[in-house]
Amino acid sequence: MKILIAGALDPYANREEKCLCNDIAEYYKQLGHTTDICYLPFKMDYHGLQEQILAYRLITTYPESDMLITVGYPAFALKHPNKHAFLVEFLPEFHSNYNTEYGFMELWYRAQKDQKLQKNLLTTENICLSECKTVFCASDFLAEEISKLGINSERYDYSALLGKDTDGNTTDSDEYVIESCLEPMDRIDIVLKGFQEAKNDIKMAIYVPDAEECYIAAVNARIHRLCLTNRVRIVHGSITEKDLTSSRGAICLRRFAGHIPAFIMHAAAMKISCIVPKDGGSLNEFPQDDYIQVIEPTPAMIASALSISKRRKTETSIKEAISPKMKADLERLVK
Amino acid sequence: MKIALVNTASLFIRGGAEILVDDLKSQLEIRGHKVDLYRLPFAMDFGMPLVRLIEASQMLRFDDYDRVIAFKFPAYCVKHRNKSVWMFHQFRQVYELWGTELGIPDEKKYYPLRDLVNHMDKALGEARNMFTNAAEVSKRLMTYNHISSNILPPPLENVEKYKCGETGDYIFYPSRVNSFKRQHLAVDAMKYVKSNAKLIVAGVCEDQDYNLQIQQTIRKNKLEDKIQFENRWITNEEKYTLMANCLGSMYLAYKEDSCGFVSMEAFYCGKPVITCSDSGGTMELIEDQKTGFVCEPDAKSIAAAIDKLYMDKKKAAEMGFAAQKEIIRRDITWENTIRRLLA
Repeated sequence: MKILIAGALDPYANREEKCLCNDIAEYYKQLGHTTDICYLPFKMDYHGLQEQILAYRLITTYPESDMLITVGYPAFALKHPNKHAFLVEFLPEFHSNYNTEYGFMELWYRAQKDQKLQKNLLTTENICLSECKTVFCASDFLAEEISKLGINSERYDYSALLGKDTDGNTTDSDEYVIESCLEPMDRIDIVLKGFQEAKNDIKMAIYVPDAEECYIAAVNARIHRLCLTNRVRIVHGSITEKDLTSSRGAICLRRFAGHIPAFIMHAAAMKISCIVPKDGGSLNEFPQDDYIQVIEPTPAMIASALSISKRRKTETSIKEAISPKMKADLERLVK
Repeated sequence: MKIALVNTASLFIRGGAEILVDDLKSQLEIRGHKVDLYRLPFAMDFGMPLVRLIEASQMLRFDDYDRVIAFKFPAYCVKHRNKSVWMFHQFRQVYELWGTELGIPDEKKYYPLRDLVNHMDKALGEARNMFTNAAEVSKRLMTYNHISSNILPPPLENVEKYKCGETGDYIFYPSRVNSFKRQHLAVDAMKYVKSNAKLIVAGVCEDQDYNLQIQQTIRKNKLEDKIQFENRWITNEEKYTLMANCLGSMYLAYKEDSCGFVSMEAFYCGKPVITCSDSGGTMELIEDQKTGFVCEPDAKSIAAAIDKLYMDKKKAAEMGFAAQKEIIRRDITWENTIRRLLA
C-alpha cells in the first residue's frame, strides 16, 4: 500500500510531531508498505487560520496515495477518502485556553467578530475531522476536547525518544529541567517566581529547542529581574537522555496540555521527580505515584514542591517510541 | 538563519532533485542554520488539482523564516519577503512541450491553465535571487518569461568518495529507469555492440510496462550475458565502486535540463560519458571526443561509441582524466553554492 504521512509544522515546535511522522513511516516500511512524508507549514496567526486551513483543503493527495495519515494541527484538513488523523495538540488557544491570557482573548468591542471567528473555526474542524476514518488522540484530555466537536476518537500510545549524548558523563547536575518553546501556556514566569521563593541551592536548566526571539528575550529579562542568573540557565536545544538522567527533577507547568511532552513521559518512566499542574490536562493522566507531584500552579506551591520532591531512583527509560498497542492500531488501519 | 526549503513532491518518487534538496538541507545545517523542508504534494492531474495547488501555494505561510529557498513549480510560487529560487524545473508542459505527446494538448480548454502558469512564473521576478541549475533552464526562463537568472550548478555530496579505479569492461548507467531517461536505447544499443563491452543499468523502474519492454528486448536478443539490469536503488557504496571501475558511463535522458548527477559522478571518477545530441543539459558538461561522446539518439550510434571506448582503453582513460580535470576546474562546491543562495 502507498501510505502518505503528512505533518503540519510551525517553526518553533513540533520535534515530537516530526518524530511521530518518521516513526509511523518507518513502522509501515517494516511491514512492507511504501511510504512518503510531506510537511506543510503552519503559522499561529489567529486571523489567518482559516486561510491556511483552506490551503490544506486545496492540496490533492489522492489517488497518488492509498492511505493518508495526518499528524498535528491542521494536517487533518487535507482531503483523502482513506484518512486517519493523529492529534498531538489541538489549538488550545481556541479550545481549552480560549478567552484566557493563554489563548485567544475576546475583546469587548469586537466580541461578535471574535465569537464568529471561533465558531467558524470549530465548524471547519468538525467538517475536516468528520472525514477521517479514525481520529487518534494523544491523551484522554484531548479526546474529551474533540468530543465537544461531536467527534469520536481513540487513544494512541506514543512517546518520542529523546536524543542521546555522545559522551558518557552521567554526573549529577542536580538541576531541575524544563523543555519548552517558551509559549505563554508553559507558564515559565510562574516557575521562575517559584524558584525565587525556593531554597537558594536549587538550580534549573530550561531547554529551548526553538522559540520566538521575543519570548527568549522576555524570559531572559525575567531571569535577570528575579536575580536568578546564578541559578537558572537557558540551554538552546532539546533535552537528551543524559540531561534527564543526571537531573534532580523535571517540571512542566503547561496549562491544559493536549499531550504529555516526551521529556515528562521519560522522566516519569525513569521515576525522576516530576512536578505538574492541577490544570495540566493530559499531564494529570499519570497514575498515582510518589514521584509525581500535582500542584496548584502558583509560585508558592512550586517552591514547596521543590523542597519536598523525592530524589530519583532512575529506572530504565522508554526504549520504544511506538508501543505494542499503537503497532496494533497501525496494523489495523492497513487491513 | 532560519530557512525554509520548499519543494514540490511527486509522491513516492525520489529522484535527483529530492536528493539534492536533502543534501542542501544537510549542508545548511552543518553551517549552523536551522532548516525545515516542506514538500507540496504534486497532483499528476493537470486540471483543477493543479490549479488548486497553485492557489494553495499562495496561502501557505512562511513568515517566521528568515529565508525561503524554493525549487520546482509550483512550490516556487510561495510568498516570502526573502525568497531565493533555485529553479530545477518549470512546468515545461505549457512551454516547449506544449502540444507534444509529453506536454499538455494544444486545446482551448487548457489555455487558462497555460495562462495561469505563465502569470505565476512572471512573478518570479520578485524573488530576491533567481538561480537555475543549468543553462537550458535559464534559456527557457528568458525565452518564455523574459526573466534573467544566474546559473548555479548543483554540487554532489560526498565528492571525496568518487574515486578512479580500473578501466573495466562495462558501461555503467545508474538512474531512475523510465522512458525519459531512455534506458531502452542503451539496451537496444547492446544488440549492435561488436566488442565484449557490457552494460550495467541500475535504478528503480516505476513503470511496469517499460520494465517489461526492456526485459523483452534483453530476452529476445539473447543479451543476458551482456546486460545486467538491477531494478532497485543500489547503495551509495555499490554506486561508488561500480562507477570507479567502469569503462565509461552513460546518460541518455531526453531533453534533460541539467547535465545530470550521473555525468558529474562519472567525471569525478575520471570516466568518460556517452550522451545524445538531444539530451539537453548534458552537453554543457560533456565535450564530444574529449570527455565523452555525443551521439545521435539511435542504438547504432550509441553502440559505436561503446565499441570505441572498449577498443581503445588507453584513450578511454585519457578522456576520463580530461573529464575529471574539467569538473574540478568548474569548482562546484557546497561552500560556493550556499554563499550564493544566501546572498
